[in-house]
Amino acid sequence: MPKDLLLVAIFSAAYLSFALFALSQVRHWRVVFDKALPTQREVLLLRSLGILMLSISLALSLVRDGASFGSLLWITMIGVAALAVALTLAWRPRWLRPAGKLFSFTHPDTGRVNHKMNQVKG
Amino acid sequence: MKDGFRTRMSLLHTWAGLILSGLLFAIFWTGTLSVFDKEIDRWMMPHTRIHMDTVRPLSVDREIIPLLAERAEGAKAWTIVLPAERRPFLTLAYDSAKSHIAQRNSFHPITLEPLPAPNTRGASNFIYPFHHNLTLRQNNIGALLVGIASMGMLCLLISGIVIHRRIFADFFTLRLLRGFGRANLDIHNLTGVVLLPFTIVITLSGLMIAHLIYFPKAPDAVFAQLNPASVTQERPKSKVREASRKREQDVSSENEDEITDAREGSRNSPARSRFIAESQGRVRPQAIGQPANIAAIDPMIAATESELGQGAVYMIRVSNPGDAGGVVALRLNSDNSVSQNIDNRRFSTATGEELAHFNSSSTTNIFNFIAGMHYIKFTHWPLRWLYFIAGLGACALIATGLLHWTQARNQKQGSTGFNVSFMNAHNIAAITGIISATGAFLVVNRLLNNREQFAGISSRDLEVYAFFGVWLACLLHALIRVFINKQYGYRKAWAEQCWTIALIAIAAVGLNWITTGDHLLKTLFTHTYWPVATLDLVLVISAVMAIYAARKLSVIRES
Amino acid sequence: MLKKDSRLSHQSKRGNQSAVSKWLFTTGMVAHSIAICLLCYLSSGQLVNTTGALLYHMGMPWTDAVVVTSMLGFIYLVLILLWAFSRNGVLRTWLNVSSLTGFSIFMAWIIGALA
Repeated sequence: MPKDLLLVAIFSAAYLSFALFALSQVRHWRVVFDKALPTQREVLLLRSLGILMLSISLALSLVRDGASFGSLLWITMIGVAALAVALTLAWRPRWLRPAGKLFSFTHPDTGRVNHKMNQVKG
Repeated sequence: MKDGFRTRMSLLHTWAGLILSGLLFAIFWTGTLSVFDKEIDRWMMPHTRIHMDTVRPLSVDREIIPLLAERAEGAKAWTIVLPAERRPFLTLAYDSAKSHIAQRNSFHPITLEPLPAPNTRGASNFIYPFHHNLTLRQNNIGALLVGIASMGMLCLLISGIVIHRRIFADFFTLRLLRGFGRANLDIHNLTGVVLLPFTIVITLSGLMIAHLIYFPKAPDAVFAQLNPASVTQERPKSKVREASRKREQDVSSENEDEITDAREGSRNSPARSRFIAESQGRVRPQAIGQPANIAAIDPMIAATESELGQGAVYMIRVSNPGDAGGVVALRLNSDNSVSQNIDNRRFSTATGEELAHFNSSSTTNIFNFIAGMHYIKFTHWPLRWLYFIAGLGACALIATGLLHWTQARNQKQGSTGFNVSFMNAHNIAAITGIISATGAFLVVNRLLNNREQFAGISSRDLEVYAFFGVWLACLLHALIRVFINKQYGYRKAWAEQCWTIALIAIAAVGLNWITTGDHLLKTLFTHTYWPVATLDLVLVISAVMAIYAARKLSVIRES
Repeated sequence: MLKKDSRLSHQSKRGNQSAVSKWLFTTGMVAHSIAICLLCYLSSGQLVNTTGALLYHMGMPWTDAVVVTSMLGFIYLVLILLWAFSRNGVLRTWLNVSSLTGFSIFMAWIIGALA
């Protein structure tokens, strides 16, 4: 059972990291935040948090399965997680708002999360 | 210069894609299915749907040797494959005085009753071989075609990255609702970038494990350095050696057969044989000619498993049983490691003493890691599923690449030249055609329901004929549709073949229920049996997706 | 990307040509590509032999040398193929690829004589 939980955790960490990467791009930023453009600092912060989450997922998979299985699991898992984020953005972009909330919680001076129906500009 | 490079890479991408993608789709599709080959086997061979939970460990001496003694009179080699999670039955293989080709029998793991002959190749003897040699074994033609396609895949992947200008800016871009062409290209770019590590590794490892087919002269060239005279001296003998090698392959076990065939092809020079023996530890002990008793094998297994862990031995191979020079080789499973474990433990049949065993070198272990990564013999279900999903993603990558070319040309009004029409038909046959063919393979298997032959043709072959027949029919259907109506015929063909896939998938699930009584409610809830339940579920899901696609395609036609 | 392709394809560059010369051109390009691929394969095979022999002389057991060099061979082949198809113009491609093939055969021959 802890192994299954770890699996979920690995996926969630990878998913979250790609969600943060996506938020650092203007097109996806606009879906979540009410500020038009992220500042340089925010982009940097989002991306470094993304890298952090990605390394957490790597660490978790190494803990779960050891070096050889762990690295293989991580490489395939991040591919699937990135696909999942892209699908989320394609179908339900607003589902990324929790990730945005999480981010503005760690970094309060980033505009509030936008709750108005925002036009998704492709 | 930089831009010139990019344009030439784009030309390479277009042409290599046009020529090789049909083949590549077939290879990736069958490869993806081979991830679950043993599970498909269970579905196709209903009497092997055995629960492993209740199986107790078997005693080789008390239970298995008597079975062999009464069947394998005068055999030069016995192969015992113990029951395992994904192969829940005991397999015994042995040659006879009459034939070098090993006879193979399966037994129930609890009652040890012989199981009826499967009368089907199943996935592991048709879909899996198709994946690596297209079932064209003569002169390794199939393997060479697969090699050319794989090399093309690597060139396609790298050139694709070069010509994709905005990798990071478009990383998550997936505009599914903005017209077919846009969505299609986005899927192509997304799967191409996101699955790049997987596709590169799987393609490269697929090539590397068959290096003896693709670089057949390498062992000779290096061996000539070690022993300059060898090349000229040993040449006359090579014919004899080749013949004996062929015989060895015939008597070797199922598992080895799969691997040797995938790796080495059929020809072997002396240097190659020595390479295989020294690097992979596959040697064939010679008989001395003095009769001897067979020592107890269970203690050998117990000794090995106390050293390496419970269940470490998966296969026992007894060479020259009843001879003083006989050898018992215990092959170790690869359940718990990515790399394929080719080490063994060897004992004398006559005395039961441990002999020197084979341990692969650390360099060979790197090779074994790469090979194991491709063969996925290990027990790691999440990873197996991830491979399956990534494989499907790679199929989508290839399919969208093909569609991108035709779609851009179909949209230009009035420009339906022969090339475009041909590629339209080709795409339909390459994508929906092989999916329908795979479905037909399953349906015919359940229609025949384990009978030995039908209308004078053995069931084993009939299933394969159905596969290729349906594939051919799909091609003909696509050609007819496309050439009757050059402008819109292809859409009709796509829609119709999607309906066919849905129909076949539903029929397969239904026939499985009718012929074996294993319906989804039973395999999921009352008598849970995951291999069959999962395949049925996947079939139902693909039917739903095919119906969705078919309806979408019809809507587009009307508008 | 698409517009680019059509601008690039040699047929459209040559505009109004007869069908025969178009087909001749296509067949020629196909033959050219196949020949280039075969030469690339040949030179990668020779490089594999050379590397294998070198590795053996550097002290690797011969079976390991075979494994390593064969695995490297596929990477050689991809790189050579990409390099060959990124050359500018048919003539230059032939010049480059055939000199590489010549070089690799020469190397393999030297190493073979070294034994």
